[in-house]
Amino acid sequence: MKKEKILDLIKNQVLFFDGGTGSVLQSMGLQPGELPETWNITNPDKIIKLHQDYFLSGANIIKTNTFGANSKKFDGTNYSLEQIISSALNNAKKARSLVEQSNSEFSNDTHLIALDIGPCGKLIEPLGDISFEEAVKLFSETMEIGLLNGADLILIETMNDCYEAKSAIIAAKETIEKLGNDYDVPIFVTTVYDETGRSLTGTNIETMITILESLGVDALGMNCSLGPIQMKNFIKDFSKNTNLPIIVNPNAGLPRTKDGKTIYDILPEQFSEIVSDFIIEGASIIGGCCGTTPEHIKLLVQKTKEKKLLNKNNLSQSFFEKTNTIKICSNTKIVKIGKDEKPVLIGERINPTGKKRFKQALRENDIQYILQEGIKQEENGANVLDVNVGLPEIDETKMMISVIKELQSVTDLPLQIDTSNPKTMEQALRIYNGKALINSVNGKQEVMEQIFPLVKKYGGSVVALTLDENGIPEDCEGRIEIAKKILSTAKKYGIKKEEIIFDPLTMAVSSNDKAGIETLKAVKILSTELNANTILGISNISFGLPQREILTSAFFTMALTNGLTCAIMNPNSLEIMKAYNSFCTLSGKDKNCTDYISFAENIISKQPEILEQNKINNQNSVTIQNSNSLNSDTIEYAIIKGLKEQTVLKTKELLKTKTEIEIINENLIPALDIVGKGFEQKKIYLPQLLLSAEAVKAGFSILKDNLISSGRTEEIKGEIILATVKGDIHDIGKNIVKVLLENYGFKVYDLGKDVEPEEIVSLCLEKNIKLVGLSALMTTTVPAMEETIKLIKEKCLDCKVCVGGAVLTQEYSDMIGADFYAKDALDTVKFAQKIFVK
Amino acid sequence: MEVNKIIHHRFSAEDIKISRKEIFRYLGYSYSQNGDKENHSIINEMIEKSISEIKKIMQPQSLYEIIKIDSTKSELNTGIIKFANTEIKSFDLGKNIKNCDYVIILASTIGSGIDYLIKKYSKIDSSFASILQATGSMFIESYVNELNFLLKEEIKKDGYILHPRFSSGYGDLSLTTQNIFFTLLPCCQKIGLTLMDTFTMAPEKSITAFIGLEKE
Repeated sequence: MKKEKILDLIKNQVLFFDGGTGSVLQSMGLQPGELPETWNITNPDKIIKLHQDYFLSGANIIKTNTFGANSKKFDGTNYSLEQIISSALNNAKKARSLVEQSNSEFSNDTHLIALDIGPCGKLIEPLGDISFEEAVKLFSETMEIGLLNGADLILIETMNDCYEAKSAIIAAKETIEKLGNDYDVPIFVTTVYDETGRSLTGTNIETMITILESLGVDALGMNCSLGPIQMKNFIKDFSKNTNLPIIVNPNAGLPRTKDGKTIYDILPEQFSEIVSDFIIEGASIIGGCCGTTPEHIKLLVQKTKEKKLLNKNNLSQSFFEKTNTIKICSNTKIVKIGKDEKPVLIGERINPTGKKRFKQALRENDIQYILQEGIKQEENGANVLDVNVGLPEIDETKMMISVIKELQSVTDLPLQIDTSNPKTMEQALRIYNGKALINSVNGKQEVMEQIFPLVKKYGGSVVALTLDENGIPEDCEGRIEIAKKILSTAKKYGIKKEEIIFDPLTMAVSSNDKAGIETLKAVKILSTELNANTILGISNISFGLPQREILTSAFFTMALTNGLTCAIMNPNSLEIMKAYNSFCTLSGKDKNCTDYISFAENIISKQPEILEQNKINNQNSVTIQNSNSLNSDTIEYAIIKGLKEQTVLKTKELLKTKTEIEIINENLIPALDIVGKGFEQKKIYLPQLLLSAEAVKAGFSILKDNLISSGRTEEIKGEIILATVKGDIHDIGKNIVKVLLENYGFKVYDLGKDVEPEEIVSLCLEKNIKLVGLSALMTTTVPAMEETIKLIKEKCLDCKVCVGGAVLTQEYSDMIGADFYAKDALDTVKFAQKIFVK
Repeated sequence: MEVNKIIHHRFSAEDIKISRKEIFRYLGYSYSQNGDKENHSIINEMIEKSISEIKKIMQPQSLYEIIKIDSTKSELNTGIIKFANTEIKSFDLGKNIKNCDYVIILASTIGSGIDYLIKKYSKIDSSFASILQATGSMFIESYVNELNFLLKEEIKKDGYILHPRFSSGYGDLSLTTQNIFFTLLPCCQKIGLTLMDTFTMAPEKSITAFIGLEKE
């Protein structure tokens, strides 16, 4: 059946899915551990019978027996993936034609074959060991065979992780694109939730819908894990948040023990009673998952007819609340943009423009610094982080991907991807976990042609700048014209009007007296006449003028008053945050002034917090050896106690009288040595050592800032590569070593975990590295370590190798040819000092 | 006692017993050691924070199945273990399940939320990350102990006793036997547990084990 016809059908009619496959096959004699998909070839009659039974029970859509069919699982078995999938489709088609030739009451019904796609069996990075692109490839292989063999639609089901679901949807879209229009089929996606309404990777229903809808699926819903009773409560969460057809395929309730009691299966009678009512709640494609049988579906179809729920239009209860509010999200956090919401703050600090320190971080691949910038903005109240890492001398795409991946592992704020390079934009949108803000498109034809197809394919809300080939119109009217042009072009690409957020552009008021007024006027017109969301990068208004924050924050308040719904701004500026919090409270968007009060209290408390800490420290007695004599007002004390803020304060104080190098050699390192000795003597333990290391790191970053801002560079004691060897994914230990080495003034190239020997060697050669530290935690990866050492010794003659990790001993280390065995992090530092400090 | 039926067990995070002593042990402290008392209070604070953060995102779940052992007594003695069309060679596991009629294969996890937390803090606060590691290990152990206790009570009714848990990688039991759990139980589908190419699991705070059942 053609895609359009199916889409028309699901919009206007209730349809029934079939029930369980695996569970029924088990009752037919599938052995434990036997792959169910092999039955497509070894027991085709039984599979055909199963499909037939479902169709004859009234099901409209059957799932092919391909849940786990991917090359990862079938490599090395007796059958090729091609054989497994093509026979699955043949069985389904045979069942359908048998039913359609029969005299059954259902023989003239709609009968669709869904290519069934379950999870790939691996967790995607960063948690698991398969990359996003590998997952896409895995799904694509299965889908291509399925579509070529006549599937009517693709059902991506039992997804526990929205990131994996995204990889499967992209695979589906790309497979269809590859095969051409004849193979264009609808994409259905069902995801899995626990009793609290979260997926196993922590995504709630509203967030999941936001992501799936933006990727352009044709129907969505939930299956597996829960029985009908628990699922009932969640259907409203779907129908409120989407107007796509909703699929619900519950289990028959797994037999399981809970708090010592065993809860039993739900029998067909009860199942049909509950599940048919799902239609009233807004579901329109219903069926079953594990444990359900043709009997369950048969009664479900009967019951639905009895209750006269079959024609959805008769009930036509739309719970979907259509508003102009748009949603963007990460995998676990949703941010709403709209007139009824609090204005959204987008942190602007991850951007090299005009920032010496940031540029240096990009050049040095200092991701840590960039992450800190992100975290600081989150702490100060940003709702979204803008990410711009464009610098002519670096590979922007590579940097963007790595920054997005890293940022998404330390913050759950949604990101705004900010680049003018379409290639970078595409790769970023591809790997981003969630629905991103896209910064930006504008009225130039060429730019729209590059960006809108990406929006369509990967989803996202778009910032649209009101400028075009002729530049930025000076007056408001010209900008509105461009906005209208952008809207009509977006429509041609099938992008919803709501997804476009207009930026009427902030110009410096210092160069044009009318700059503020025209922009504000445009904000007002866009938001009232076009009913659109608006965004401004507010800082530009004060460019070229003294005391910029005063002007910027006043402009911000005015823009908000004119209807601005989001702003790209500096959340670290107290003046701007004051303006924002005041506006929210005064415009009635802060119930009981709660947010204002906590904001105000936070400002007051920041100063005394530091004073208080001093007081407490003064009262405490010092117990670490050698520190008895220490005055608690010194930097050494702060470091030994692991007090980060205190260390920063003291470092700043010392800078008035000492040079950076003096502070490092006379204060930071000796204090760390005391902690190190305490650690060796088992007087203090790892967490404390790390606390101190963090404190020193904080001190170091002050010194580094100072050096850079005065145009000097720091002294580097030596350059070292660290890596966890191939096959090993444990990196906590290696990270500790890194922190300590950096504290002692070494420059560390951290290659991460599961690193190929070749990658290490090539960096070694490129940077002429003299010391490599390798870590392995598992006995199984010691051979990989040996292989790495061999390659290093072969290619980089004068490079030393130091090894460490839980499984290693001096004997092992000697055996695999390492130069040094470090029993702990401090040991590595000592060895490094021996090598470099002569 | 139901044989050959896969059971999906869920547990509330609130019901898992918390052992601070165990957390200290994982951190390398011995409770009795008179370390730096004052710094202990900082560590204690961080431990409490780790407990509450993990509790918020933890999803303790297990799959298990009671399976009949097909090996003869003498086969078990020589380290040949047969069940569910599978054969393992391991003297140590054989010894562990000596005299047993059934074996429970068990896969448990507290979910991937903790992995995210550890990942996050290893970049911004490595001391807290090390504490999360320890607290996470305590939680998965404690959860599996709890489940172990429930299983013990359940099979007692049928006159069986449980042998101690035995996991892949213990003694001479090869790590590759991890495959067995992932072949026999729908780990990925039901509890989101996956096996990596290195035979370690993701999410990290997870346990698989064999538990022998002997007639009393």
